[in-house]
Order: sequence, then structure tokens, then C-alpha cells
Amino acid sequence: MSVTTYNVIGTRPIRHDGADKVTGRALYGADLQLARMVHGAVLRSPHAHARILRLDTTKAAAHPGVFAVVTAADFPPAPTDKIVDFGEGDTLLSSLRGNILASGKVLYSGHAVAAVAAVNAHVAAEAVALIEVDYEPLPCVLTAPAAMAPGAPLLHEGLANGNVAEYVRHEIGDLAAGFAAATVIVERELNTATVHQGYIEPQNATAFWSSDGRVHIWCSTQGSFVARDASAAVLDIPVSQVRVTPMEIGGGFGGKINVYLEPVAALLSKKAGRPVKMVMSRRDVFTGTGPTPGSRVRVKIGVDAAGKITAAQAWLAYEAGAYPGAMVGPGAMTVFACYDIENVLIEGFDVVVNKPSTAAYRAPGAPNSALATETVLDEIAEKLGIDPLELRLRNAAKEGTRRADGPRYKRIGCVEVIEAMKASAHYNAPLPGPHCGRGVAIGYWFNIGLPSSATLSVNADGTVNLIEGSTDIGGSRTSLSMQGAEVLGIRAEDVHPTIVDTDSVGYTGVTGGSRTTFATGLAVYEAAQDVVTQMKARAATLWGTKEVEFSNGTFSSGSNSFSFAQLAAQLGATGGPVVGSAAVNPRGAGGSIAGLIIDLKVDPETGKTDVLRVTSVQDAGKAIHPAYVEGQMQGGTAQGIGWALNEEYFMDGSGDMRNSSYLDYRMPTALDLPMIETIIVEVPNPGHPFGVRGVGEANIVPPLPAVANALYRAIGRRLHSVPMNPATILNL
Amino acid sequence: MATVFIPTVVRPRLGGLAQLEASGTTVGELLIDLEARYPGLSQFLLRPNLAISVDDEVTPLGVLEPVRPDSEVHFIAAISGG
Repeated sequence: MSVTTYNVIGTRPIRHDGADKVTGRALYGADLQLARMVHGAVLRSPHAHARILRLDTTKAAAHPGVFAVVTAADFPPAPTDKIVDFGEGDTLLSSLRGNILASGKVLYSGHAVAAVAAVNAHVAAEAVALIEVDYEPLPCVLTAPAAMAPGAPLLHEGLANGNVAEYVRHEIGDLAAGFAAATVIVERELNTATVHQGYIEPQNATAFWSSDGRVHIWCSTQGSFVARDASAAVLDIPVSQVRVTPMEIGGGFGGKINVYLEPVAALLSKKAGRPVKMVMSRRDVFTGTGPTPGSRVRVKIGVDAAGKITAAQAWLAYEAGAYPGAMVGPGAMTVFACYDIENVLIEGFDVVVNKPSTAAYRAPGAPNSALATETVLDEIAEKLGIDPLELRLRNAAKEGTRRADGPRYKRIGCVEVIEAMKASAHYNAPLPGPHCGRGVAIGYWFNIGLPSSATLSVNADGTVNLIEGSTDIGGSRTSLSMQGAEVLGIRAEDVHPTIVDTDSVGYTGVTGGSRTTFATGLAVYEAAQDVVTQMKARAATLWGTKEVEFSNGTFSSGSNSFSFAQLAAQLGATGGPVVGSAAVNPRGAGGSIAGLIIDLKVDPETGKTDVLRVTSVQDAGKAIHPAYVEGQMQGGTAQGIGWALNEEYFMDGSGDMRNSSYLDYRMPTALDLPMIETIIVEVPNPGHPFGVRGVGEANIVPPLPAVANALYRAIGRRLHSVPMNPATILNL
Repeated sequence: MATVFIPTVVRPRLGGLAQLEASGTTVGELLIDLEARYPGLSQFLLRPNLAISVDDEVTPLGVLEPVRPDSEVHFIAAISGG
């Protein structure tokens, strides 16, 4: 456990953007107003799969108040093999552009076909209705098994195998020998529905294509540089010609990494000669952006009489949606990642279907596969008469454990998380009565590094301005400022963070992969070290010495000493401003293990499930701001519970989503959940000076299986598909 | 000699070999060594959405990453996150 003492880290200062957020002064994309700005709207396909026979925008273009109309034909030609780099995830330019505006065929209901810019949103909507499209409807496929079946309608030509875009396989040891050594073998098949990240703020983008050829985009994005690079690729212009200003973001959870409106608004602006603003409706968000994949996962695990896993096998088929990229790779890498298993075979299939092209969602791919593994283990624990956490503890991955995909773990906190679960008050409390069940599960997420940049400039009053490029979704302004403050020996409140546009800071990767507090935090740490070095030189000048010490915010040499603020006041007389900068591309992100304990009660008459008590446990490495770590744990847990119990894209047979509003897409609210208890485990990450591990994602992995296991204990039967809603429970 | 682990889906192209010894001081040099013995192998290892792991750490340097004689090199799915 972490024992280092800090002055700032581990405290709970008020977030720097708090006042603006709670008073409504914070500016989101929909708030943006520019001179001569006009408004865009998108025409979307009513068909899940159809050939576009005729697309006529003549009447829309002639409609009074319309400034521009664009279709896919307005994009520059796309090379079929050009790759767009999203950091550690890439996509084909042709797929990216095809998803933004359809060409030739529409591949899902909601697929964008054309867009209009008009004097206001109402006129834009009228003009969209005047666009004439003749479709030739084609048969659609909506699930991975259906799309993999012989004779299934094909979405694309030239994929690896029909609708299978990619096949992944990991194999270690001797699977047959492992199963032969098992006392108990359980094999089950689990299904998950397509679900959405459910961020409150819809996608939006405003663009102005200036007469000098530069494009300025204001948008809600998890990564301003990714939005810049992707938009530049789609528009076939140099990245230096695009400037992206990230507005405040009302949630993303992985769903705001891809671009949808940005290049369209830019094209409309180029034609209109004015800034063009586009804001999605909720239905646009559901049907026109990227949900997370539905999946079918089959897991077979063998365990010997001592409770040691002898072999494990998994088969995963994930729905990519209309274009390849279903996150089955990470699903396959995480399916058994919590455990030390010698004999493993994992096969995964990335399958295109006639649904919206999927996007990342907190620990993408991992909840789907963990649902299968963790429910099978629960069943095995019962058969062997072993406590379910004890079974996990006996097989927990440790430092040096080799994953099935090859690499061995550095220091991880799997054992510590399970032990914290076992020791928790919740796990040792009795259930309150009949029809109640308790479930447990654990899960893993890798976390990532990627580049980040930061600049710190010292003010004469002893405060510091922090310039950085990470979109702040969960309080990262504060978690970054705290790391700078810790190094400089000042208060967190004395660091003033600003998130700037892509022209104003060095390249910074997405706020995703649980990387911001780790990687941008490391950039701030290094920039602060740079400041300290420069400040020591200033003190040396003042004192006429070469040796200056710095500790706890005090510069000293012999009998001389200055606080940080005292020395900051002297900078003007010792050479001028002190500005510290750093750019990093770190390795050693340090994966995180999370666990969940959940108590449920099921009404036998209605099938309604009430969540009685929840405890989320997670290894944070070192919690910079414990309240924000707890918030991440609670948020991921709430989303996972919603995914498990109620959320789904309810599609009709023609591929149309029939519940595309928050009235019908049943996300949990504060009324549905108790206060989620949290236990932060701190196993420091050796790859970060403060031991930070990202905490944004692993917490959504265990809720699905923990809910499934709790439901089994409440109703005595196992469900094998999520959502496990009242109708499913009553139909058992 | 460093050890290069072959992704399972590529192993059939090498007669089922799971790992190969290769010489060099960087990942790139290892691949040049392997390419001489197994022409065309690199194209299956250096692909979009595959990251390079050296000694159990995904490297931001890719083929420029230094390796030691006892290093392990893996080609694994690139992880992004949400």
C-alpha cells in the first residue's frame, strides 16, 4: 500500500471549474454564438441497408434561407487504404468518411446522407425534408451470429471473411491437457445488447472555413488533436490548417473520440462562407453516433478440486456496427486478464452489422467478456463449495503473470482488490430478507499512455498558470493542478488551469483510456520540475551561490531562504518570466483492477429489481483527488448497472431503433440507485512518480457479471443475456 | 538473441512456430533479421491496430525501441479506451 506523505495529493480541494459549472457560466458547444453564423441539419437514412439510387438536393439548395448543401460527393476522393491515427486506435479513412456521409449505400438506420446549412435550424430542417433520395432497400443483419451465418447479406466487399472484418486468436499452454486436469468444467454462452454511453450533452460542432484556407472548429470532443487530425484527413487538408477549440464537455465515456459533425460543418462553412453550427438531437445521438457493441461470448473454464483454474477457452463475436472496429481485440485480451491461467485459447471475431458504427465506451470490450467469465466462475465456485471471492483469490493475476496475449504483468493490485472486497463491511453483512441476492465480480482494464504536453508560467504573486490540452471530463483540471502544486510546494488553488486549442499547446492525446491524470499529469509534473530548476537558478543569482535546495515549497541556501511566492516576486529582477514546459509520451500506464459487491431484491410478482447496496472497489495506484476517484468509481458502476438491468437498443426487424429517447432508453437515475460505497485500494504504479493508475474505466467491467450473479441468488435461475430486465425475469 | 513472439493468427504462415530468436539492438533490426529468414513476415507484424510490447511494456517508439539480448517482443492489439 502507498505510504508516501504528500501535502496536496490525497486532499480534496474544490474543483477549479466548479463555480462556472454550477452557475451556468461554463460554455458548451451549443452555447457558442458567432457573427453571421448559420445552422446545419443532417438528412439521415430511414433504412438499415439500402442502395442509394438517386440523391437530388436541387430543391433544398433553392429553398429560401439555405446557404449550402453537401453530400459525400463534396468530400475529396478517399484512398481506400489510408489510415487515420487516433492514437493507439486507427481506422481506414474510407470507413471514417463513409460513416460521416454515406456514399453508394446506407448501412444503418440513421446513417447520414446529406447536410444543409440555413439561416436557422428550422429552415435547415425544412430544407432537409426537400432532399430527394431513392433507395433500393436491401436485406439487413442486426446481430453478429446472423451476420456470420452462411448466406448472410454482405455490408462490404473485401472484408476478411464475409461480414467478419478481423479474427483474433490468443493461445498459450495445452488446452486439452488443462481441461483433462479439471474436476469441474462449466461452459456458458452470454449475450449483451447494444448500449449507448448515455452522455447528457449531444454531439455538436461549429466550423468556420476562413478565406485564408484555415478551418476553425469548436466542438465537444474528448480529444481536440484527434478531432483536428481526423477532420484534416477527411477534408484532405494539412493538420496545420485546422484549429480545434474544445468546448466544455457534458460527458463522453469514449463516445466523443470519433468525429461526426466536424467535417460536415467545415464543408458547409466552406460553401456558405459563414460559420456553421450543428447540434445533434437525442435521436441523432442514438442512431448517428457510436454505441458499444452487442456481443455473444462463449466461455468454458475448468477448475481442479483445489480451486485452481486448469484451462479456459473463450469465443467472442462482437458487433462492429456498419464499419470494422468492434473492440473485440481488448475484449479478447481482458476475458481472462484477472487470472493466472496456464492453458488458454481465445478466439474473437469483429463482425459488421447494420447498426450504427460502434465506438469506445469505458473499458471498451471488457464488460462484454467479463460477463461470461465472471458468471462461469461464480457457477464453478458454487459447485465446488468455495466462496466466490476465495476462488478468485486463488487464481488472481500477480506481478509476472503472463496474459494469454503474451506480455507479463508489472505490479498490479488484483490480490489487494479481492482482499479488500472480502474484508469489506458489505461483504460480511447479512442480506436483508427473501428474494434478495448478493453478487460479486472483478474486472481489468489496461489504461494507456500516449503523448501529452503542458506549460506552467509563474506569476509574480506566487501562483502558476497551467496551459494544457486535455479535455476535462471528470475533474482533470484539478487532478493535474494538484500534481503541479505538489511539486512546487504551493496550494492546488494557486495553480490556474486553462484548456486551450490545438494551436496553443503541444500535441495531447485523447481524454480516454484512463490516461489524463497519468499522462498529462506526468507532463505537468515534468513542467513543474522544469520550473523548480529555473527558480533555483534565480535564487542562486540572488544569493550569489551555486547550491540551492528546494523542499516543501522553500528554496534555501545556507541561512538564505525564500518561499515559492517570495521568489516568484523576484523574477522580474532576476531575468524575467519563468516558464516550464514538458512534452511526454510515457510508458508504464499501469492497469487497474476493479471489483463490485452488489445486493439486489427482485419482486417475484413484477420482476422488478431493486438495487439495495453497492460497494465498488478499485486500485487507483495513488488517488490524487480521492473524491474524483470515488466519482469515477460511482459513475462507472452506475453505468454498468444500467447496462446489466435495463439498457438496450430496442431494434425492430427492419433495423430501426424504437427507443431513441431518454424516456424509453432506460438509464438508471439517482432514484434507482442507493449511494454507491467505495473502497480505494492503492497499489502504486511504478510507472508514475506519484504512483497514479487511471481510474476511469475498470469500474464498469464488474457490474454486469456482479448483477447477473446477484440475480441468480435472488431468483434461483441464471440469466444469460443482458439486459436482465423485468420482462426477461418473468419469462424465465 | 531477443525472442519475438508470433501472434497466433500469424503462426500458420511459419509452420506453427510460436516464437523466434532474432538478433539486433532495436525492434526494427530484429524484424530485418527475421525478414531475411522469413520473407514477408514483417507485413503481418507491423499492422494498424497492433502495438509493440517490449519486455512487457507497450512502447511508444515502435520499431525504434531498443532491445536487449534477453528481451521479449510481442505484437498485441493496440488499446485505446473510452
